Amino acid sequence: MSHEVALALVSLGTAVTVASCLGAVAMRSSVYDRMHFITPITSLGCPLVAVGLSVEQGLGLTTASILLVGALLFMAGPVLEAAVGRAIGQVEGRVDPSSPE
Amino acid sequence: MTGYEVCTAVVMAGALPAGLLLSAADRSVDRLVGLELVSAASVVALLLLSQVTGESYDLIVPLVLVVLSVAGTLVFTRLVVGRDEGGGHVP
Repeated sequence: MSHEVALALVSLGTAVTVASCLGAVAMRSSVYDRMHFITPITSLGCPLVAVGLSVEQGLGLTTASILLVGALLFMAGPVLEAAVGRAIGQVEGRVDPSSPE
Repeated sequence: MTGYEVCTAVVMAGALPAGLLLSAADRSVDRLVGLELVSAASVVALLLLSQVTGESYDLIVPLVLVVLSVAGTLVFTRLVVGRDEGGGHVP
């Protein structure tokens, strides 16, 4: 039973990851719209894959490593989103390039 | 072919080429978004590859990639500011 649950979670995470990447390429209206397609991978796709693989592996150090990778990407995603959004704003002249220095 | 092998193949054939395509875009900000996409998709692909190979020590690769991609993307956000659309320095 745990194998089926794990495979379902991994498949869902895979679908989210692939759909987000294809959506980012298909979105041609604005780079801001395109930027939003990264969030589903870091906040949903990778954690789903990590949880699914953890269910498959069971308790142990391997599971700890997998969950650490998923948690790191989950926490780093919003930070990188904000940094990239700010950089785009600076390139397009909406944000002062010298701030916050 | 197991389900994990199918998922790995789907990510490597669907997500990674899409991110690489965006990484080769004309505008520098699009390339920056592509870099982030490729980094996140690569982590997912490497997690799945470690499951397919069955070697737990393979997990060190996505772990290092996450840390390096965060630092690398933050560095590129600093470098991309002050460049024009063609990629050269603004005079």
